Amino acid sequence: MCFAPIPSMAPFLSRRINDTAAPHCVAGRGIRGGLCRRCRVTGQASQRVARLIVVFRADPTGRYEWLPPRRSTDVTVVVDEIATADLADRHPFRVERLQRWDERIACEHRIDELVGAVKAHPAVTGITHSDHLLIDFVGYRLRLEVSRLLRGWTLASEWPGSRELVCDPATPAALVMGARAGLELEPVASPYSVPTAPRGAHRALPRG
Amino acid sequence: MMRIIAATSPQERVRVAVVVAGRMYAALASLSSKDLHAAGVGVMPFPGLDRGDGLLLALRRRLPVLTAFGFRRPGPGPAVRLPRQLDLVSEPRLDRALAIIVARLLIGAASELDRAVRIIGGLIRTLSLQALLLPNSGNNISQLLTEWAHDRELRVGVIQSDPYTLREYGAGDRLADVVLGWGEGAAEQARDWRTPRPTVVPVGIPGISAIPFRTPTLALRRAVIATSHAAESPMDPAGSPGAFMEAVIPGLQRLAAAGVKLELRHLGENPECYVRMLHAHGLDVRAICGASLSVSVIGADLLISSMSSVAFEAAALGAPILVWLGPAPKSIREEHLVDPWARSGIPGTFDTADDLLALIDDLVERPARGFQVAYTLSRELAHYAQPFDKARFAAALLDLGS
Repeated sequence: MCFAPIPSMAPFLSRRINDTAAPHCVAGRGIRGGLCRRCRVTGQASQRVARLIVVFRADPTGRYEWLPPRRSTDVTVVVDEIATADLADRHPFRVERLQRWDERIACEHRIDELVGAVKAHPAVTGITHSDHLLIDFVGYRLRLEVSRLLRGWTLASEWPGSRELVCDPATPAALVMGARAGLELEPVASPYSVPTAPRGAHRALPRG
Repeated sequence: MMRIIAATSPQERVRVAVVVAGRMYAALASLSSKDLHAAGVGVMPFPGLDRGDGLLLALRRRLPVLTAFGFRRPGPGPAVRLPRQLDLVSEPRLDRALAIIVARLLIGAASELDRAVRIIGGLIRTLSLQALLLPNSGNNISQLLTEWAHDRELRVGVIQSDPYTLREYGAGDRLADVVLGWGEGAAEQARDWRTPRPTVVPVGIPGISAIPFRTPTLALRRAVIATSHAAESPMDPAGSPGAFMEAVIPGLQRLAAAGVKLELRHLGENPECYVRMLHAHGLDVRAICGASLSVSVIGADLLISSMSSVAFEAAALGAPILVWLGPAPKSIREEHLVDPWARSGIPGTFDTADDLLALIDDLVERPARGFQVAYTLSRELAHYAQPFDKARFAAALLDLGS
């Protein structure tokens, strides 16, 4: 059985390539080294982001001891918006603002499509236990992990020229792996642990 | 200990097996032993769902404990071997990362599935069983239990654990046969769920009691700001705490200038970051830690919240509230969210900092008008969330097991 690969996520998960303004690129935001997807295509920018730093959770102490000393070429992205104020001197980007709402909706559907494709993959449909499909058993967690993977990929795809990824220790492994994939780094370098079942988390895990 | 209690427990009259966790404990604990025995309730301990609350309740109410567990040590479960690439995504590195994630998830869950299957195996002996009642159906074990029950033509009930927001998804609760919902409005919210839809029986919010009527206040002395944690779903309408804070800070500054005491109630996580952010804006805000919502809200003159469960619980308590509608534009809310969020122009809701400032100006300068709006929103949301009605819950339990 042969599956048609799901097409590139780029049109669904990141800014439209043909946007006339790319606010995160060198020209638009004055970020030294930023190289957006559009600029990469058109060759408008010459500098690259050296380091992409992902802040997943605001630090209650406000110290963020894991953060490396600031460099002018860093791009800092915050997932937990509350960290934005703490890190104002780094001029962080808020991950929520990387996608328009129509793109977020498309992303939700894309997550469902990808989860559905995984569930239908012949390599997993044969794994059963007492008539229960193992892939169905992990269905909720799979959706969460795919969501994280694509979120990491999306944010990394905004700064594809980054040569280094620095993630908050609280960042879920799937998000790190997605970001590494987006930066064309080898994903297996990321540690991965199986997440525990979320407690009644149906707000975070909408059903397809 | 669980095994000894279960082995000596009279299981032959159990008609409704209940996994006691979360709000379920508060719901069941509100009923007398007589009511619970009349409904044929038995406690079903289930590792992964139940953290010991079930046994506590069984001892207190002398309820049967089901032998829903298997061997002490689960086996390894099914073997998992996946290819290096799944060829589902055209970017090879992303596809490789996906393959790793899927493989690790499956490997990690294999023994968990084995354990769950063994636990469920114990239920086969309970021949009188008519239904399962689960704390929610939004996780893998609940789904497994639901499938198991439906295969045996048993009914499945769940207790609503959060307000419903997204129209097209409707939460895992839709897999159940009966949802014991928070309010009459929950049935309307469930109308867009895909068929077959469960029956929604409103019983109120477990743990939220009707409080004695208090004369609505017209003096704003103390306001509580309720924040919630960030969510990971791209569409989650409540998942932007930073945007919420930006929307409320100017209004809070107006309140502080009017001499109103401000308190912060943060759900689940450490509130320090929020307090720090508010202090940076010149706001002297005290964090309320460990108090129940009822304790937080009773005595406050106003609650300002995002569209989280806190807003609904406060509405069930009859507290005056102002609610931020989230960062999604109106068109997105109308298309993808359920009522009341999909409706525009509900008094007391706000999108922007300016919207909230206008509401707060009324509260400070024209309190009769301002509080009328806040109480109107409270009554509006109370349609979706009412105080717990133990008589209705007892009747629903009886019906579930009949």
